[in-house]
Amino acid sequence: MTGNERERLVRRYAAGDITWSALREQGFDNYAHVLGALGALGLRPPIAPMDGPNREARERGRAFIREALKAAR
Amino acid sequence: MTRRLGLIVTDASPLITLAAGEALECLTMPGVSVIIPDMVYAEVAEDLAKLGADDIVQWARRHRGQVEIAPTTVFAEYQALRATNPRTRSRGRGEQAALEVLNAAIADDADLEAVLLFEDADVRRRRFVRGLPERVMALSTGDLLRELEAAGRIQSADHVLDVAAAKERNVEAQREPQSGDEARALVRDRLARRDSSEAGG
Repeated sequence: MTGNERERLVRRYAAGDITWSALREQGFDNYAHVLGALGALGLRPPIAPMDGPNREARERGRAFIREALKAAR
Repeated sequence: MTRRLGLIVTDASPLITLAAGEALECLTMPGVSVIIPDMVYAEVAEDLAKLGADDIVQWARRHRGQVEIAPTTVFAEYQALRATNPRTRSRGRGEQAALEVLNAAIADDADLEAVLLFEDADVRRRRFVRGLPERVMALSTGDLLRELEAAGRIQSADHVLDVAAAKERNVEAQREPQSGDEARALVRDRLARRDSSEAGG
């Protein structure tokens, strides 16, 4: 993979266009390298918007954490 | 009463992000069990070798009883495959190991509550939880950080992610090979030092 291809993929990842799994298929061996490439471009890992096929399961997951945090206080 | 299994880490990326962001405590703040399948733990230890997997070991020790490394046959098989072919990739095995841990627990108690922790881009695009009981939930690293931020337990989710990217950027820079000129200068310098010490000795 050339430097340009690598940069293009990392930018697409930061924008939420492609997944970590897709990056792996393109030759990224580990996530630490992805973080490093993001940092070099002045980008940060994406936070997924609340949509997609797992939205309901994620909303329940967040509610679970919210309740756990209240109980842990 | 519903049994609460806790958070099951399905991939190395959430641990790597939080370790690099100096925010592993975020995982234990909710006070629920954190289960790391041995396959995921092995990936993290491998990936963070240069950054300091030690942080994760120390964190797991601090929270002994809350953080558990769970054994799986997925990891045992991976090790066997690696013994015959060292180039065997771990890709996707973390998730398989997490599902193995989850299914073993469900076999004992079909009503248990569990949360599968995923990397953000993956949780948005891929369907993970199809066919799992309703009490099995999903969460991304970003979801966790946003909830902690909303609860006032961390200052900012974005700050954690910025620290993670900046820290790994520095590690990555150290990994990059030196240019030919720099490398040659280094060799010349070392040879000159060796020659002068031999001449002096």
